[in-house]
Amino acid sequence: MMKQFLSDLKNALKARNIDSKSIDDIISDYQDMIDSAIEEGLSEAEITKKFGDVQQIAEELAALEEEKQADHKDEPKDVSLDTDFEVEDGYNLYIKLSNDDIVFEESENDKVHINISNKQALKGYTIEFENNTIRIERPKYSSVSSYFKRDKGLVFTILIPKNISMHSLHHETTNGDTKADYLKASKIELITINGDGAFKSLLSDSLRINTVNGDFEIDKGKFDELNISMVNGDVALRNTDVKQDAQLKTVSGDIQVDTFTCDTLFFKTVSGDLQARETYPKKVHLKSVSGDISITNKEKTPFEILKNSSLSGTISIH
Amino acid sequence: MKSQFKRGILEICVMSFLVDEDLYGYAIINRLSQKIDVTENTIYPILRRLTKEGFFDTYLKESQAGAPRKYYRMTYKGINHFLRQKDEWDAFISGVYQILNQGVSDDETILKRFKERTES
Repeated sequence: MMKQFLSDLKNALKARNIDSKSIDDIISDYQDMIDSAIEEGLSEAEITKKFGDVQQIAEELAALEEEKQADHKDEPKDVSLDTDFEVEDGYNLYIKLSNDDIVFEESENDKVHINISNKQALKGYTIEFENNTIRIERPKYSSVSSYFKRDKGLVFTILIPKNISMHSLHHETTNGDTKADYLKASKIELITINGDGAFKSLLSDSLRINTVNGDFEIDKGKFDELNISMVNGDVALRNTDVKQDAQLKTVSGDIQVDTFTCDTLFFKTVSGDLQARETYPKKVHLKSVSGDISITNKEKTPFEILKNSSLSGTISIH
Repeated sequence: MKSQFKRGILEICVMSFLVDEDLYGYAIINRLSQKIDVTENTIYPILRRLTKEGFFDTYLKESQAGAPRKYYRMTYKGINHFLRQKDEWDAFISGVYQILNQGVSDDETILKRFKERTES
């Protein structure tokens, strides 16, 4: 009975043009699994029932072999793509990626230049420009399975013209890291799960950062409004001025601030700590469960305390 | 779509068995089918795929009953892949839970809420 099963399987595999070496492997694996099942006391009838339909097995395995061949066709080749976009004042940049890193650079040019390089095919990515908006999007995966199969992503280098104003930058990524030495837009939104961000000279009317595990570092920031919400990631802000309110929310990530001004500093934490040095808010609104808060400045400039509550964390001011 | 979705999840489950010990094919199938309703013929192709990708390697070891069995062993490449996938899965599933459990989570309350909204 088992011999019949194996010979049926072999024929079904042959009928699907699977190469003979793979067929030998598969048959020997099945022989192995059937032996184990017999050792565990299953009857041949039970096993045949358990292992199911040979045609279906052959179908699955044939799909796998085909996939392997297709993967082979997409073997690493150096892809480098350069594209220019003739944007006008008030343009938008919309980015949605998974594992790809981004580097923003300032440019004297009057076009947005995008360079993508990696030893991987660019298959499935969308890069388009319409209505003064550049959209960069990862391939649309049709299933969770292919979502899990992705490996390391691409590296995008985006040259941002100095003399053309950007209205909005939306950047959403799962694991990709982001780096910028200079970046300015009226509205900036950065959303990541694990991706980190490092920014120097970041300027915006409204900056919003939303991260789960990503670490963010900002040096020389100038914002009208700042809104950071994080779960486990750590954030460091240096030399940063916020005209209006700065809202910082964390679950367990720590926030380090050095040389910072703002109107009202809202800080809300579960267990993450806030360590703020050389910090000059006009008002503070602090809420903590067990996170420690420390706000100091050399000038001993007083500020109004709107709220100051902590369950078990220590709060020290000046 | 449904089977693709399931395959991605089964891949992570199969990998998680091999974190702690090397196992032979039928043992993996058995463990998985104790917890999840799967047929054997979906699992073998997964084992084969993950081996081809270099996430597992295999070796033969004598069994008590005689015939040598093929054991699957997790590689370093495999454990790295597993950890990354697990992170993505955690992030994905926590998002799904957050969406599904907004407000309350028991069926009765959800249904009541829906009825109140639509029948008024």
